[in-house]
Amino acid sequence: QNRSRAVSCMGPQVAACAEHLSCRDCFKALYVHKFRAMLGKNRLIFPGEKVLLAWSGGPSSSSMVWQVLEGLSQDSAKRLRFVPGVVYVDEGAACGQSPEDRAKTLAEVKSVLQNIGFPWHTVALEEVFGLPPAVLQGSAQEPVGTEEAYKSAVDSFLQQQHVLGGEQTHQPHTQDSSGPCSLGRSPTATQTAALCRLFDSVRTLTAKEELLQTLRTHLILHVARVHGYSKVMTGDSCTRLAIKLMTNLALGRGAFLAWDTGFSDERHGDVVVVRPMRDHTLKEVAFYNRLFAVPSIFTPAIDTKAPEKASIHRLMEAFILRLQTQFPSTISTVYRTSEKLVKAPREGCAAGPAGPRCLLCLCVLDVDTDDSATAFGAQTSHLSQTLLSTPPAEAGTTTGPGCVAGEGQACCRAAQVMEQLCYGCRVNMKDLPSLDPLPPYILAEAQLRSQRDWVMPEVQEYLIEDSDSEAEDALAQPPGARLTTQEQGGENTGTGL
Amino acid sequence: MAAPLSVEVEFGGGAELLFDGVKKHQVTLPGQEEPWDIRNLLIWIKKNLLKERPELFLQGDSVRPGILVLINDADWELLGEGLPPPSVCFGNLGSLGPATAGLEQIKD
Repeated sequence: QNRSRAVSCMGPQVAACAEHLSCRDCFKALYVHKFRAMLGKNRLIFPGEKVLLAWSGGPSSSSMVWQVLEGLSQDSAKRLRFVPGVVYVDEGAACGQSPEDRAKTLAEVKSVLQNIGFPWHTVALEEVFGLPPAVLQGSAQEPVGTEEAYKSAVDSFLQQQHVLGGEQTHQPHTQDSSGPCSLGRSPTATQTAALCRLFDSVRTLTAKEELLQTLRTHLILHVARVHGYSKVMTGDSCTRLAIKLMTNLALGRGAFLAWDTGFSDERHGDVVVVRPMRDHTLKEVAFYNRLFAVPSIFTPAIDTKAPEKASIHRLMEAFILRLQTQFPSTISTVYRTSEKLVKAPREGCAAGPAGPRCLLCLCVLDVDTDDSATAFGAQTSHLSQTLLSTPPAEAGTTTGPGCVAGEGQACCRAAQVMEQLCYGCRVNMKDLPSLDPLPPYILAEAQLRSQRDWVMPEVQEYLIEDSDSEAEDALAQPPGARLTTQEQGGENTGTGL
Repeated sequence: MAAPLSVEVEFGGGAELLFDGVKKHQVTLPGQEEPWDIRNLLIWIKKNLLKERPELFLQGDSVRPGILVLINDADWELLGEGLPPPSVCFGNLGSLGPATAGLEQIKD
């Protein structure tokens, strides 16, 4: 099988990636260039910004951390200019690892992290059982940096450097000096047991995989916020994102492909997720790591050694990889297509506050009215009927919102949660026979939102005209600090506002 | 007629899970009728080194899509099929579940 290949130089060839035969040096140059170009052309990371690197131990994220390490230590002209930290999430409890194996892995992880030298944070996935509902409350959207804002930020940064008398070499923050900065506590045995109970109750591997990703995202988001990081970098490679795109289509997440697979994902508002490795294929990553001794740590994932048809993720991965061997432009075609996806608001909702967000994936809900003809609309109408027949108020009381926390009926709680999910997340949650094992922050936030929706029409008639739109906006948008105090007041006194 | 051959075979990226967790194997391939090419090496590996789940490592005459093969730290795709390998490294990218990187299929 002959493919036309370009030979980029005369050195001894080591790698055949895409259509290029490269020698070691050219391979490295291209690899590094792709990383810098991906960051450079998108211009989302401002000088001096705190960026949290999500490191799984796997080859892609390891390579990413390595690129950042090398990029920060280069000579001044080409140096990367942000302030990195690293977070590692121990998912061993969800993947059935023994405590001994987990401890062993964690020791290796810490050793690698110490060598890297950035401030680092290790958290266990089961710590989600200690998260506050605030994690799911997005904050106000940060204005996306304009071209001019970016340029002026870079200029003023360079000026500062000049005034301070020459280039400074990069120093890690002294207050966050290399060392453990966890959430403040190790996972308790209760939390570990709760996580195992949750994952054991999930019926399908597909739903487990999705739940794992959701919880991991929330946890990383929390770490980022607590420590003041405004960006999170994940190591998703071109290969991985192509597979993810197709998988997410099959999962019913078509509406959110641009956020799920694009370079930047701003759904959380204050913390933006970026994917600088999205131009690198996994093959390139593996080669680079091998040739240049990038440390990585292999840990079994939730679907390691699972048969091909065990989950939608596995099936799609096998499909894409097999197709790729016969048609080597498969992955690049999917990638190029994904670049064209546009994040556009739904027709007719152009201006005005963003609609409600999915409780789990935090995407703006592509909300259908009850009587719409879509599957989502049919589900929504069914759920609304369930909720109307079992009013949230506890027996007897007509005023006041919602069930008292923890005492609501189980089916009422489940419907409450489901109603606030997007189509894809609903389909996943159906694979949980009961939603009770979910971490408390999810159930609590579901209740809060449900109370708010219940209260809104009640309060409407008492609102003076002027503050009508104000209250409406406040209740429609993801709550900020103001709303939190209102709701606390609501829970205590039993009144809406 | 092939003479005995000494080969260092290395598994990484999760592939080692199928080989009792052992990453590096120094093996001596016995003399045999057929030449020692990758295809025959794989057959030998399946018979002598592979401990479980052959379908996760092999597919037909070659490795499963997703398994990356390096010969003397160079891409297998650069070399012909028939090259006797002094050093072969099988790197699985990801963790056997999430495997990656396709190889060209061996065509006769």
